[in-house]
Amino acid sequence: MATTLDPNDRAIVNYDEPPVKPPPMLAVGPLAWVRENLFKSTFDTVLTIVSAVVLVSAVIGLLQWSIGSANWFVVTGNLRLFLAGTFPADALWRLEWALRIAVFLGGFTLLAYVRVGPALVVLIGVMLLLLFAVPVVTDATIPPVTTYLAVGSTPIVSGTVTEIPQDELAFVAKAGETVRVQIANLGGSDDALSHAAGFTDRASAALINAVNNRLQTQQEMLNLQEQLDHGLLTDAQRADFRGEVSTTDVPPALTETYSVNTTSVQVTLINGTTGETLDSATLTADSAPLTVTLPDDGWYVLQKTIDGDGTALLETTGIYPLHVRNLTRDGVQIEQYERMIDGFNTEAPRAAIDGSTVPIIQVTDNQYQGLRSFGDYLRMFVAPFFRDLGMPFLQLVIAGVLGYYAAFGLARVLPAVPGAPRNLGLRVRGAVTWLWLLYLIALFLLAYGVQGLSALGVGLLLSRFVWVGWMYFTGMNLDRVWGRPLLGLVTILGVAQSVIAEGLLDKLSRDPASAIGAILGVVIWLAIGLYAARMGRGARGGWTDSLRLRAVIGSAVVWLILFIVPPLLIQSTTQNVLPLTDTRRWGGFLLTALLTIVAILASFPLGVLLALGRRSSLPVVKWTCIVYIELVRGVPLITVLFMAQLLVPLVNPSLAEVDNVIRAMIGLTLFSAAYLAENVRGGLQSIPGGQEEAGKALGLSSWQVTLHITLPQALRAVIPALVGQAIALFKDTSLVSLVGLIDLLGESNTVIAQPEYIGLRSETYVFIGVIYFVVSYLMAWISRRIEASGSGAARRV
Amino acid sequence: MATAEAPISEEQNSAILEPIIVCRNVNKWFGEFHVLRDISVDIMPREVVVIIGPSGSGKSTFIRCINRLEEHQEGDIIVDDMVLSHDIRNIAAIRREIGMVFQQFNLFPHLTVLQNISLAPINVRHQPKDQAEAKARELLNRVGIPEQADKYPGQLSGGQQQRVAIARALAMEPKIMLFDEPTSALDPEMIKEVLDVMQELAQSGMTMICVTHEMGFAREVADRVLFFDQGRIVEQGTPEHFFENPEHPRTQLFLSQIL
Repeated sequence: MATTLDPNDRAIVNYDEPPVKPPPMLAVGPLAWVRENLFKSTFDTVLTIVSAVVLVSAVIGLLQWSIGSANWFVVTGNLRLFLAGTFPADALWRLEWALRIAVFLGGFTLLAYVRVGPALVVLIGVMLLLLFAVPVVTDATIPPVTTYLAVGSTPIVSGTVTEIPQDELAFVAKAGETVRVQIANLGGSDDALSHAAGFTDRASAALINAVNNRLQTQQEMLNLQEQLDHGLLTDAQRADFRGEVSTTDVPPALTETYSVNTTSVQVTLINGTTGETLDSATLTADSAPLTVTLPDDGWYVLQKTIDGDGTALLETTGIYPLHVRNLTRDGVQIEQYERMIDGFNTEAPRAAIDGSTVPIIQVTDNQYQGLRSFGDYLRMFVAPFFRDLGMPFLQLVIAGVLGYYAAFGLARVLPAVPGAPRNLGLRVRGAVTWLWLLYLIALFLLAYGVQGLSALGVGLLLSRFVWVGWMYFTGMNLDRVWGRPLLGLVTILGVAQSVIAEGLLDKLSRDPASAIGAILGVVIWLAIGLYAARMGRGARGGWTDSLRLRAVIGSAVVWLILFIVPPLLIQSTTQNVLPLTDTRRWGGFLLTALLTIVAILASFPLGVLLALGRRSSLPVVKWTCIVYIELVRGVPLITVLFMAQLLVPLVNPSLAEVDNVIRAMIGLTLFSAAYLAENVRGGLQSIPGGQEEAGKALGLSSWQVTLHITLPQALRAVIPALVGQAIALFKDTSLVSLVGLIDLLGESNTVIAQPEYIGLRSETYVFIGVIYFVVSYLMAWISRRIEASGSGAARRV
Repeated sequence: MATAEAPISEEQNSAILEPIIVCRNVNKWFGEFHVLRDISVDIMPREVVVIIGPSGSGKSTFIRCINRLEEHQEGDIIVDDMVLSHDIRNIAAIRREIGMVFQQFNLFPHLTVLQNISLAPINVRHQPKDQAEAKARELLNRVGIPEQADKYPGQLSGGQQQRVAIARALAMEPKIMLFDEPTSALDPEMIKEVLDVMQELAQSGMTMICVTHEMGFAREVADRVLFFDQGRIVEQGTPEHFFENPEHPRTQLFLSQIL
C-alpha cells in the first residue's frame, strides 16, 4: 500500500478493514494497573517494595499489640466518660435522642445528596451482623478467659516480691454462669509455665514472673557462652563476659523448687451470700475439673488447700478480677464491685466467712498476664463491646432508615425540580439545609437545657413553628377566592396563640411595663408569619392545586394537635422537661463536638463579614478588618484560649461569671473567624471581575451583587478550604484541655490518671485518635459530596 | 419623557424626539493615557449605532462609560434626561434603563438560565418570582432557546450563552442596549445565531449601540456608523457613506485592511 501520494494519483482511498483485536494483556486490567502504578520504573519498584515492607510491618506490629498485649478495658470501661464526660446520668437521654435525631437527619440527607447503592446497604448489614453474631459465636465456640490461681503454703519469691498463696478467694458472678476449676496442665515445666496467658492472682503472677526471669537469665547466659565459644571478641570483652558468666547463676527450675502440681488440691465453692457449700472436690493433675453452675447473681467464695507440701497452679474460668469503685449516691458512700471483663457489678457487701472478709483479686495489680490469644481477645474485648453496641446501633440504623423514607415520602409530594423531574433528592435539598440548622440549635438546647420549658411549652413552641409553615402554605393559596379570608383567619389564630404563649394578658393586667417584651414577641412572630405568607405567595409556582390545599389542611391539623393536645394533659406536663445542665459537667466527645459546632457556626458569618470588610473601599472598615485578621492570625490558639480563660476575667471581673465553656467557645470563634475570612477572601478573589460588572450593569446594588453573585460562587469555590479549616478546628479544640476543660483529650488524661488504668496511654490515645480520625474523615467525605452535587456545572464555565 | 412604546412614523420620530443619549466633550484617562478625547455624539431613540475601530481605540471604554462601568473624568453624559454623575441614585436609575451584553457573556455560572434572567427583575424591579419567570421564558422563546431554561450556563454552547445574556439584559426592559463585541468570543458557526437575535431586536425599535467587527451586520442593520481611532470619533455616517465613500484616510486604511 502506498503511503505517499503518487504524482499520478489524486487521492488515496483505503477500503481495507483491519480486524478488531483485543488489547495486549499488559495494556488493560489489573495487571496493567499494577505495571503502570507500582512498577513503572526502577525507582517506582524500589519505592513500592520499601513502602510495602514498612506498611505491612507497621500493620502487623499494630495488630500484634492490639490483640496480644493492649489493655482495652481502659476504653470499654470508660466509654461513657469518653463520650459525654460527667454529664448528669438523668439527662443522658437528651444526648441519646440528639444522636438519634442526627442519624435520622443523616438518612434524610442521604436521599438528597447520595445515590444509596447496594454497597452501603451491604456495609450496614455486615456491621449489624457482626455486632450481633460475634458475641453469640464467640460465646458458643471460644472457651472463657482463664484465671490462674496459686495454692500452697510456701511463699513464692520473685525478685523483691514475696507472695503467699491465699486459701480463700471471693469473686462476683452472674446466675447461670459456670465456674470451672482444674489443675493447670502447664505445670510440668518452666517452659510451659512461661506460656501461661490469662488473669492471675498475686501468687501465681509472682510464680510466672519468676519463671520468666529465670528463663531470660538462662537465655542470656547461653548467648554469652555462644559468644565466648564462637564470637570475635577483644580480650577485654572476653574477660568481661567470662566474669559475668561465672558470677551469675541460673536458679534451678522453679517447677521443681516449688514442686508445682505434684500433689492433690482440695477445692470448695461456697455461696458468699448464704454461706452454703455448693460443691467440693479433690483435684489431681489428671482428674476431671470441678464444674459448678451458679444459682444467683452475687458473691461466691473459692476455698483451696493443698494436700501436703508444694504449690499448685489452678486454671479456672468464671473467676475474674474486680474493680472496686467508691460512689456517693444521695449522700451515702457505696462500694461497687465491677467485673472488668464485662462490667457486671454488684453493690452487695463483700463476702465474709466467720466474720472476716474474704480477699478478692483486684484489677489494679492483676492485669492480664502473658501474650493474649486471639480467642481471648475476642472474649475479653470484642464480644462484650459488640454486645453493648448492638442495640444502640440497631436503633440508629432504624432512625437512619426512617429518615431516608421520610425524605422519600416528602420528595414524592413536593413539586419536581425543573430540568430534573425524576430526581427525588433535588426536591428535598432545600429542606435538608434548614433541618440541619434547626437541628444544631436543638442540639445545643438539648445539651444546655431551657429554663422553665414544660411539655406544654414545647407543644406551644413547636406549634408556633408549624403556624409559620401554615402561613407559608396559606400564602400559596392567596390567588383563590377563599385565599384572603383564610389568611386573615390564620393570622388571627397565630396572634391569639402568641398572646397566650407570651402570657400577654396576664402581664398587662399585672404590670403594663413588663408586657413590652411580650408585645415585642407577639409582633415578631406576626412579622415572621406574614413574611412566610409572602414567601409562599412567591413560591406557589410548581405546586399543584390539590397539593397546595393539602399542605394548608395538613399544617392546620398538626398545629391543632400541638396547640390543643398539651393543655389537655396539663396536669402531667407542667414540670420542666429540659432543666439546665451545668456546663462544667460537659466533657469528652460531647464537649469537643459542641465546641466545634458552635465555633464553626458562629465564626462563619463573622468570617464572611471580615472577608467582605477587608475588600471594602471604606478605609476604616478595611483597616479594622485587616488589623483584626492579622492580629489573630499572628497569635497561637492556645494564647487566645488562655486569654479567654484567665486574662478576660482579670480585665473585667463581671466576665468571670460567664461559664468557662462559653468563654472557650468565644475564643475559638474569634480565632477561627480570622482564618475563615482569609479563605473566603481567596474565594472572592477567584471570581472574575466580569461577574460583578454583569451584576452592576443589570442594576443590582453592590450588596445584591455580593449576596447573589460573588459570595455564593466564592463560597462554593472554597468549600475544600472551609472544610479543611473545620477539620483543623475540630482537632484544635483539644487545646482546651490545657485550660481546664475536659474535652475528649482531657477526659483521656483524667482516665489514665486513675490507679487501675495507670500506664495505659497508648490504648487511650489510639482510641481517641480513631474518634478524631473517623469524624474528620466524615467531614471530608461530606465536603466532597457537597462539591460534587448541586450546580456542579458552575465550575465548567 | 420620550417613549419608544407606540409605533411612530419616521417623520414624527425625528421631529418629536429628543436624543436619548447625549455626550458632550467626554474625556477619560487611564492614568496618564488619554483614552477618550472630546467625544461628542447624540444618539436618538430607536437608532442603531455601530462603533468600529482598531483595538485600543477606546470604543469599548466609551460604551462602558455610558452605564458607568467606567468613570469619565471630563464632559457630560446625559442618558434619558439624567446626568451621569457621582450621584449613586442616578447611576442606579440609568443602569435600569440600559442593558448590556459583554464579549465574555458574563453569565452567572451558579444559577440556571432561568435564574440568570429573572434575578434582576426580582431583586431590582421587585417583580413576583412567578411573573419574572414567566417573562424570562417568554424572552428565551424570543431568542430561540426556550428548551434551555433549566440548564446551567456551563451546559450551553457559546452562541446559546450569548443569547441568554441578551435575554437577561432584555428582562429589565431597558430603553437602550449596549453590545460590547458580542460575537468576538464565538465560533464562526455561532455568530449568525447571535446576529439574528440582534437584528430582530433592532427591527423591533430598540435603541442600540454595538461595538463590533461584523461589517455585514453594520452594513445591514446600522443607522449610523462611528469610526473610532486613538480615542476620538474620526468619521461617522450612514453605512452607505461609510463603506462606499469613506473620506478620512485612517478610515480608508482600516477598511482596506479588513474588507
